[in-house]
Amino acid sequence: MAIPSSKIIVCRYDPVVERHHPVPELKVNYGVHVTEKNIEQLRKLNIACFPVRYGEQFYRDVVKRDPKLTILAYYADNLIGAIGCRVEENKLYIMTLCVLKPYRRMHIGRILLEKMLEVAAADESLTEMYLNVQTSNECAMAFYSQFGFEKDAEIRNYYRRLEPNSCFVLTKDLVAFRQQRAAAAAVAAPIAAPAPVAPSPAASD
Amino acid sequence: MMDSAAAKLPQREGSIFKGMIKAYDDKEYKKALSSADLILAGFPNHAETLAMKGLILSSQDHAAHKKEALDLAKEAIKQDIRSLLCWHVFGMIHRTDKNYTEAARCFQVAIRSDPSNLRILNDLAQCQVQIRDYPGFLRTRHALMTAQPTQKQNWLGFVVALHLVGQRQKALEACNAYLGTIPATKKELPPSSEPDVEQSELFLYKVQLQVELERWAEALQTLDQQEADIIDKPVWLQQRALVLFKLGRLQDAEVCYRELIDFNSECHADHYGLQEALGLKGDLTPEKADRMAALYQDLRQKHPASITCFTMPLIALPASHPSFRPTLDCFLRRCFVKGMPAAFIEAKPLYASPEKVAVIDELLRGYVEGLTSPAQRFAGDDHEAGAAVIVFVWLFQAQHLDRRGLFQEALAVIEGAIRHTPTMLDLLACKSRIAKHCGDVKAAAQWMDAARRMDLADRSANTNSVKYWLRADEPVVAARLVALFAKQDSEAHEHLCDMQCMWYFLEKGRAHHRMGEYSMALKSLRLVDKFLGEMIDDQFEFHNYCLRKCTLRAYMQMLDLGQSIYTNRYWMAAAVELIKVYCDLADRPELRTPRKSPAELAREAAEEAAKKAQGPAPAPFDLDLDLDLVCPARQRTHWDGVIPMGAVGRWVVAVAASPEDLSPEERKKAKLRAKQAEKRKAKKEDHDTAATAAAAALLEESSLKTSKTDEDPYGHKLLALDPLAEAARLAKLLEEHSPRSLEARLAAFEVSLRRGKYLLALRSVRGALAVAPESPDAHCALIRLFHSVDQASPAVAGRVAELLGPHRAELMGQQSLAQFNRAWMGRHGTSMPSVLAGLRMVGLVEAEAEAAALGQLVAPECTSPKLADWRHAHAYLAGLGTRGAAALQELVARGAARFPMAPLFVAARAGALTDDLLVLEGLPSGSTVAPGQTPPEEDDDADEPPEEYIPISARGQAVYERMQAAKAAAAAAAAAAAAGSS
Repeated sequence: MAIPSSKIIVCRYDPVVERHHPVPELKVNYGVHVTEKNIEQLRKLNIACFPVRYGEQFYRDVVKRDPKLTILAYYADNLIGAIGCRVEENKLYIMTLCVLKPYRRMHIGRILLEKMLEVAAADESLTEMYLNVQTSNECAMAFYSQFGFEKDAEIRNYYRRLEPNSCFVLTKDLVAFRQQRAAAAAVAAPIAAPAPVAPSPAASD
Repeated sequence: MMDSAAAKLPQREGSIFKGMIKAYDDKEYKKALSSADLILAGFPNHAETLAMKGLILSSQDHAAHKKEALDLAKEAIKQDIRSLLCWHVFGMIHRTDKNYTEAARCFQVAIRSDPSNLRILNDLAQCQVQIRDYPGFLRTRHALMTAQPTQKQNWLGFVVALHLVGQRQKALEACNAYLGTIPATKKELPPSSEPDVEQSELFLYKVQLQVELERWAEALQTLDQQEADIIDKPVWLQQRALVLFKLGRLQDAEVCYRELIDFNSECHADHYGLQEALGLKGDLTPEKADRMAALYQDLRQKHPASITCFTMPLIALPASHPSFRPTLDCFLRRCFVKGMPAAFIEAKPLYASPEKVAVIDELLRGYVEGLTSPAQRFAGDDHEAGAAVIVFVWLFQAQHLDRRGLFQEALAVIEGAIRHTPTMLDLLACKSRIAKHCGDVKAAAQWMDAARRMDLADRSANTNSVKYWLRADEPVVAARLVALFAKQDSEAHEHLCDMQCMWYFLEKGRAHHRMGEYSMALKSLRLVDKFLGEMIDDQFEFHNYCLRKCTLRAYMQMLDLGQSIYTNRYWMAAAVELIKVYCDLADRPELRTPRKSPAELAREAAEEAAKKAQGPAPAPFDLDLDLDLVCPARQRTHWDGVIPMGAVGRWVVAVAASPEDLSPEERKKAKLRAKQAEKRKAKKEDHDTAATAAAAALLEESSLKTSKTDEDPYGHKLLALDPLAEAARLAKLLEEHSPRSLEARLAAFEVSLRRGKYLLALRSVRGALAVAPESPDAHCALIRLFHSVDQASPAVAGRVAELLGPHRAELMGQQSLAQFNRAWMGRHGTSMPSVLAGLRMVGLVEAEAEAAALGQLVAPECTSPKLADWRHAHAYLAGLGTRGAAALQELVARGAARFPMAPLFVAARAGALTDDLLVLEGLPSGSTVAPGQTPPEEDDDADEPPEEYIPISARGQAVYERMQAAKAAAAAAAAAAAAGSS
């Protein structure tokens, strides 16, 4: 295991920002790959979003990994959110998913996760996707349950420096996910054959 | 000429000679050289062979055989002084040596024996235009034209020569005559052939001549007749618009300018042309202002994306004009919504007017208020603005406040923006600039470096970072960074020299000068001077090329540039700095002996090399090194002292705070930390060795050893040069080319005074006073000049005083120097630089009045908006020792009030600006991370290097506490507000 479990922190969901009007559409660019040239931005993003710092090795590994496993969200040429995963044998583990606070509630996290699900679905060798969530983080659990993640086990004393220090493991069965998608596609095909949203850059400025 | 030379030899040698010439022409130098030696074996005094041998050697490798080649050519001329070939060759060797004056002289002699020799005429013409001998050039060009009138180049060369000597009328006639020969041949071409660029250029050149002759009607005729032949349409339109305007056909000119703006709406010259055609130039009457506003409203509708269509009326209209505010409002909103980080640069010209600044201020406040309210929108908008809009507003506002000198407010705004979007490079760069304006160069460098690391592919950020590190006197770090964008396969230093990177060597030279490294300063600054010489030499190839390609307009521009190249601002700055270095060296001869002997330095280098050989090869500048090396806030503690960086020392002090200062809890944690550090140290010894080796390599790569082939890597040989002679050369160039520059005049004065050339010094002082009569530096120069004359030996003084007497009477009447200076101080009592200048002169001419003058310097009314002036005053007072102590204290107190962020006055502030760098690094920004957190345990990641866990220093603690206090205060304020409203 490249990253010690004690360092894995899950995004704390902030209380919902009250809005009295529709959320404007952001022109977000998801097409930028993470490289050693822009890795510092990811570091700044994670520092701003997570209560604990990841080590140097974490970022070195991110750069070395398959670029598909890290998806960056850029708005006005600035990094505002990212999802980072790694493959553990036949499982895909979500290490980080975060969006800068002022840019939350605009579906950026949702799109990032959807894009990662596409990546996961495309790789037949993967059977499961999972992540850890702090037991107090109900907001995050609600978010992930929308995507079919289920509570699996509770790990006590998982976090050394956070309170509460235990976490849940949330998992999603990728085999079943693929079957569902195939079934949905079969139903939809005779009507209009809507292609699934491609994970390629949707918008760029 | 070859035949005549060969004829002097027997038949066999004659044919060898011919073979040698052919081999030379084919660039088979080895073969040619052996032929030459063969002939010389039999006929050691055969002049042409001697000359050819010299030429062959020079062509083979000029640097290696320069002297031998010149000697051979000279010997050849001795043998046969009338040989055309010998003189031609002598000239060619001089030409290779870039001694164009000598080369031209040799070609002149050669041409005498064969006035129509085309090759020599061509060579001569090229040298003459290079040395700007225009009358000679015209003669040669005339000879070439008459000898070979069928050649296009010869015609054009003749036209250009006439133009250069100012005979535009004749040039125009010659140009017409040549153009008259074209159509006959052109008509034969099929109509579908490629457009004829050369012909198009010639017509435009003809128009240029007509414009310079102010023959507007003729120029218009040319433009209209040749419309189909002229391919460069924008230039055609520009010339046409100008000509129409000059002819008084304003409406037609307006149409042309409008067409040009349709073509490119950002060209300022076209906008000015349009304004002029509409009579909107100069001061705007109310009626004209209305027309101006209407004009640009119209243009904006046509070119909604054009920035110039916004900035032009904003600059031209008064702030009181009813359309000013809405236009500015619209412009700013557009910039913010689009997310334009450079918006402030566009708005900068508006800061000349205080009324406009007030409007900007008001608008910004409105935006911030609207965007930070729950609705998050601009006032009057019915929809929410994008989430990032507020960041761009803050960025602009920070620059706006910074520009007005409100540094603390600017810092507060930019810090808020960084908290909002910490991933935005421009915010960090902006903060760096604010730190710079606060006078904290170290903090500025660190913030700029933080910006640079956000995008390692951003060349501009890298360049800025290099510049800021140099300003912070860190040439080693700068050298490391600048190499990141140098070509991979060559040494960075060499690459920068090849690219003639003037700004880098200028800033580097200044840094070395500040650091007292005189030899290195000379080495850097002299490079800038060398680059300029290279640029002048580079023109040489273009003289024939431009004639061949018919690009006469561009060629004339290049010749103009060659004339004005010594007014280049980088060269001027480097020359002034060089003169300062030379003057220092002249004043303090002990500086001219290097601090370390070459042998000592060589031994050190060998030791370093050995150290390097022991460790593993230094890693390339990859992610790892890059993240580690250049950010002080993330410095590994076991590297302390290895990397020469100002902030490291500060950090070490913080970490090594004595245990008594810490709370018991803190102490426990510190102990634990120390234990873990030890464990880690033992484990990672290899890692440490590698790190030390890498750092050693870094040091080695530093400015001290820039190139392996460099014979004088420390510049010690430069210290041996006569400083004043070198300075005099630069001073002459400076004064000659920039007589209206105060800096140039003053630099020249310093040199002349030290050389005892009082009349030259007087000329410089008078020049300086003519440019800036109230300049404090010119005042100093004036007094110092006459003071030195008074002090000079009687023999000199008598004669000089006689010559200078009338000037002295004219400049300062019958007053003594002390009286004159006192009058000056009385006149300029409110200006700090002026009073300081007076004080300096008091020290020179009237030491007993110093106390009163000191009082005047620190008096409340004596001030300056420039931090630099305060710094100079500070340095002068500090230099006075106990005599200036009281005044210094007073100055520091006043400075602290005026510049609360400047480390110079507020010692406690030193490093205050970099505190937030820690916050940005995640310490201690999140509420869940407590200060003094224990680092993660080692066994978690046995295979990895230790995690970068920076122990929270005493300062980190202070920052944290401050933040907590601020949060609490904000919460209390919010609660109070809530209570008040309910």
